[in-house]
Amino acid sequence: MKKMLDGKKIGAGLAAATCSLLGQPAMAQDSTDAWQFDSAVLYYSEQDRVTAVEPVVRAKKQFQDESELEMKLTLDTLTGASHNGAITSDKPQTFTSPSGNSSYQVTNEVPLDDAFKDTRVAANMQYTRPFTRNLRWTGGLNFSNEYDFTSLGLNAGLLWDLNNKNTTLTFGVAHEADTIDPVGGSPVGLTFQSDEDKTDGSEDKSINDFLIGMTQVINRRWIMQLNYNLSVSDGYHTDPYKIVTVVDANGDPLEAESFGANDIGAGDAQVFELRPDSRTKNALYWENRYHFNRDVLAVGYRFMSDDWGITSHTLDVKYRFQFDNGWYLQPHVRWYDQSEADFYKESITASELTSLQNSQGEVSADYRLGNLTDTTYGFKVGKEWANNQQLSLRVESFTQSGDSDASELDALITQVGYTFYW
Amino acid sequence: MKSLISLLGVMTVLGALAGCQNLGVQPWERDLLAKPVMTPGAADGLDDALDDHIYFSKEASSGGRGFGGGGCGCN
Repeated sequence: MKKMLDGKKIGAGLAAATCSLLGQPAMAQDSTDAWQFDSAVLYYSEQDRVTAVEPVVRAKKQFQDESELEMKLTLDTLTGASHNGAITSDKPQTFTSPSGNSSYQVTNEVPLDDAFKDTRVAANMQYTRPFTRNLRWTGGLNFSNEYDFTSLGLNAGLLWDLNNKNTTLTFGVAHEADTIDPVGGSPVGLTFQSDEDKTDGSEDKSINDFLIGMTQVINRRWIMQLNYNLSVSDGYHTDPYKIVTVVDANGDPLEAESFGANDIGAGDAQVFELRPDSRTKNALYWENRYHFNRDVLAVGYRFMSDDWGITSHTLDVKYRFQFDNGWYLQPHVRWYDQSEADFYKESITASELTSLQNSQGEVSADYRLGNLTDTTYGFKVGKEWANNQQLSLRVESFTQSGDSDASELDALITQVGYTFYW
Repeated sequence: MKSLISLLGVMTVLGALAGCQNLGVQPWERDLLAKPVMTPGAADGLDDALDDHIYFSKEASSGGRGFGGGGCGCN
């Protein structure tokens, strides 16, 4: 639920925008008085792992005083299995379920916790209003809730049009308060999973975001946006369901009982991960949109770095082929590359565990914090009608690849979208 | 590192702003720019928000396009 500041709008009002859709003549229907509804259903399916179905509906209206209200409701249902953090080994490994009520054993496969099931509901509201000819303010609220997680956020921003509305500066701040209430309690980091050493009660995290952005019209065909985003979060960053395997010199899983912990089966030397209690992220984002005679090219690049030692590059390219009668075809390619966090380890040795425990150091084997290269490619096909209705279908293939077996992942992204005015 | 990046960010924006006074179009030249497809952040409807949510839960990065908060227990 990343609420975006609506600072990307350059001058032209919604009326002008909707009336000049695809350069068609102004519509008979006056959509300025109507609510715009954008709806979509996303179907996201990973091979052998998580499946998500996510319907979204967003209602938007611009009022006579040029203020704009936007409301969005998202439902997210997740089922399937996710990597529990342990290594892939040809020796058997024994794990407990998050609730601690049962155990399961995995050999020769990526260890997955199949108790992964959740429903998320998210609601966002954003209101933007001009208060001088060139200045607008915006404020928003975000709420999201799932079984073990609740998030409440608010944001405020200022949009400043300059240079005959060819430049728009955006300043935004956001605050988010998260509450995490893990199933079975919050595990004590670096203790053995078989010991079930967990504390009752919830954990908290707060995030403060700052955003400064500029949108610039270069010429009649070219518009550019540059954003800088600082995100500072404090509190509980550990994934309560992720563990790290303790291995011997051959890389085989050790036994919990050899450390004086409970014996629940073979290869049960698995300790709960522990992450730092703060994180500062810096992101620079640069987007370009270029209008050819009919087609449109969009190129986005993001550079991110944080104080966990992660650096990432994201390149996103879309090319929209515009056909007659409102049809379009839009191929999309996304490439992502990240370096590992300082405390990422695929597994640890007994002596590494001892020194981590003595220093209360951090460790995680979550592949999402390791070296990772992702590619997404696919297309979107859509049709826009004269009354501004739109129907679209998006099909994309998403592939992840990193240092561990767990990071090898294939997923399919399918999305149907429908826009109408009411 | 943090303050250096912050400083670079601010300088880039201010520098670009100064240089941008000669860029741009007249109001009557906005025929192409007025299309939704030319509006960063709005061109692809709900796609950006859905993508941000997918990649936030599968990668260690977020933010940039908008705020980087999560609102999701997935990472």
